[in-house]
Amino acid sequence: MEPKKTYRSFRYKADLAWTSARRGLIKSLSKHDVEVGSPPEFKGEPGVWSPEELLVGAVNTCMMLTFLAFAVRKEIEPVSYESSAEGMLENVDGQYRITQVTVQPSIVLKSEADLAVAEEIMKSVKENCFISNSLSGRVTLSPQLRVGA
Amino acid sequence: MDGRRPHRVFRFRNNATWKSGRTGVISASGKPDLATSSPPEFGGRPEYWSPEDLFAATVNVCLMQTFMAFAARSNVGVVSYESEVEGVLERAEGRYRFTEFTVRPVLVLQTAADLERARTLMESAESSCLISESVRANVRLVPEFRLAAMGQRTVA
Repeated sequence: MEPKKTYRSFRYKADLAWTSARRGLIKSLSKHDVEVGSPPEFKGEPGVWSPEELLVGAVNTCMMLTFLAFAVRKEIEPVSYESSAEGMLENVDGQYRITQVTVQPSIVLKSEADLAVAEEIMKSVKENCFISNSLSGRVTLSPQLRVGA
Repeated sequence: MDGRRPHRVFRFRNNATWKSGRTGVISASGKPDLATSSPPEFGGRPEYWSPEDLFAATVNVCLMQTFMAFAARSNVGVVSYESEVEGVLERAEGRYRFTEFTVRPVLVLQTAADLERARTLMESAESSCLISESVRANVRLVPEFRLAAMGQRTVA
């Protein structure tokens, strides 16, 4: 009989406390608190992270960390990795939701050989990013790779 | 012709920059930078927010904000709102993803009338939270409503 691989499951917790009006603090064990609020479009303040922005930030970071994990495994290290992400919130059938997230990383590699490896890695990043797998909207990953110092 | 006001489209932008190892920074115009890392189970550092933690937090925060917006509109006296979220990340249909979030808000209300209205508003919040609508996972809401003790009945 073929032994079936078992996969672990993981749990993530985050506490939240309301502070005033539309603001709150998110807390999690040993991490520093983050102030959160409504986005400015919904009567919030621009200097505070909103859940919509954090969600887009989580997708952006998840792609980056997934790429970096694979890069370590393939023994390459980028010179730099910077990525912009944009999420679109729109009304579908009477309900607002994030319909699309576009992630555009710019990655600088040390050599042409590293660049070829990075290109190969990028092909499997999206399907291995836990956060993009967890969204109902469409996620697009458009990386730009170049060799540089 | 349909005379309804067209719904607006909102865009949210930010940047992620790699620092070293499995850590980076998320930045967005005008906001404090947020240090992030893979979760410790995946070689990251426990003192930083991981995308998984942030993702779970967005579900929690969105429900609170939706509820508080409704409560403000209906003049419901909320003394405090604290909420824990737990997200389950597991392999489903061949890929790891969040399959369930359990949100446990504990609300303290000023009066018995506020408490009753809060129950109804929480149900509305559950069905109109836009983050819950944006995730594939099942969002389970388990609220607890308490009446403020005497002397605690003014909004902090």
